[in-house]
Amino acid sequence: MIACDRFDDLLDALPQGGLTHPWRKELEAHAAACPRCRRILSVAGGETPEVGSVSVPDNLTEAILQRTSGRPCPRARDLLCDLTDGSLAGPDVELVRAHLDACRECAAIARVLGLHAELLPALAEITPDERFVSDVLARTTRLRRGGLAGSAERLVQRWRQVLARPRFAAEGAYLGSILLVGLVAFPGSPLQDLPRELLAAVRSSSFGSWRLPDLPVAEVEARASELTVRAQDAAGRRLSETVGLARQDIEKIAGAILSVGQRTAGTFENVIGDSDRTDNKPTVPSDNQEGETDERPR
Amino acid sequence: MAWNYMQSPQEARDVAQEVFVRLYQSIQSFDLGEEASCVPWLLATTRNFCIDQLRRRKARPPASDLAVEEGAPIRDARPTPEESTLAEDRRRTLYRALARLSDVSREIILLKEIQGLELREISEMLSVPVGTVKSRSSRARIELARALLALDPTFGA
Repeated sequence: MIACDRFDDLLDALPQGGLTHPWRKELEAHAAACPRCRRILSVAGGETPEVGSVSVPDNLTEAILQRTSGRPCPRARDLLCDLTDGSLAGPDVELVRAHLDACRECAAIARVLGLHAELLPALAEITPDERFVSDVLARTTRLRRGGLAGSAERLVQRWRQVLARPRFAAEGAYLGSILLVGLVAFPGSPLQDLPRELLAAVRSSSFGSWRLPDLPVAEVEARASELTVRAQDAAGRRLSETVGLARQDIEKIAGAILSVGQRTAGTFENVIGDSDRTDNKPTVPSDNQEGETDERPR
Repeated sequence: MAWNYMQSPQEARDVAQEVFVRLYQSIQSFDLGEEASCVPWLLATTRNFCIDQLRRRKARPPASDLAVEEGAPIRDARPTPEESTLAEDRRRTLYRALARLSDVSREIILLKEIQGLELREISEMLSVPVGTVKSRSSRARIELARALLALDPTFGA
């Protein structure tokens, strides 16, 4: 009689119908004597085995999904809105609902999502106070007026719009600076002496016990001029050095290009010269009277 | 809409007043036969004005509890006292949750879920593709739901 491992080998061929009669008899004879192989043969024949009750762990679904397709919550939440809106279709509906049955957190999110359509539109309207309508009407009425009153109101309205611009402060400061520089710095300006006058006023003021020290303005100006000249000289020297270095580099590059050009020209001359010598054939002197040789190629 | 942006009744009132004055000045360009023709303009102008005001207002107080305490009345049908209390509680929780959202998410919720604008209209207003609006809307709704549950785990139960 065959052994269990041979039985296993023969069993593989059984579903395909490849077992001949003698081998099938061997199979059945072994199964009759071996409980293990008899059970296997009966299952192979289609009999459902009794497995008894099995306790399923609580997180079995999630554990399987984690090992197969990653954490399910983010994917389910991507589809929750579509499920709530009724636009999710196909197997995704069952998958998401199965996840919601197993995940309390996602189920709570889905529950709240379902309330959004009912709760959020109610926030769209707010009852204004009683004076709102009358204030708007009053402002629009003033805008409708003709003459100076209407123009003034429109100017005020326009000014409010300008003030409401987020960059108003920066633009105002920019314009103010230009105005101030223009008023103080231009020759002949009536405010040209204003900085000196302000400085003199501050010096002579008895504002508390705080006094500015006497500033040697002439010395400061002379020092500033000296520093300016030195800076200009340094900048000029640096510029000259840079230009000189650049000139040297340019000369080197030009020399290199010229050298390459000369070599190339020489090479061409050699090539052309060789070609001419190859083309020249031996000449036959003609019968000139004076014995001159007429070297004409034949 | 102004109230949801500014989170302050007084500032929202000023913004709304200014928007209606500008509407009056631009009334000629609207088809008065269709009420809906000026609604998108109103919403877009309100939004732009609110954003300008918010930029001018450099320091902005945290809005998580501020607006809720000041409260904003809403229009609703005549509810029972119990329904009023529950609705009021839910509204306060909603506002607190909205204040916790990011600016982008809150704006999408405001325009799509609260004001009921279509995806195309929001796309034009914000100058982003329709697909971007849709994905932002989904994320914002999940974010709002989580914020609500963080404030009240039994919300809607």
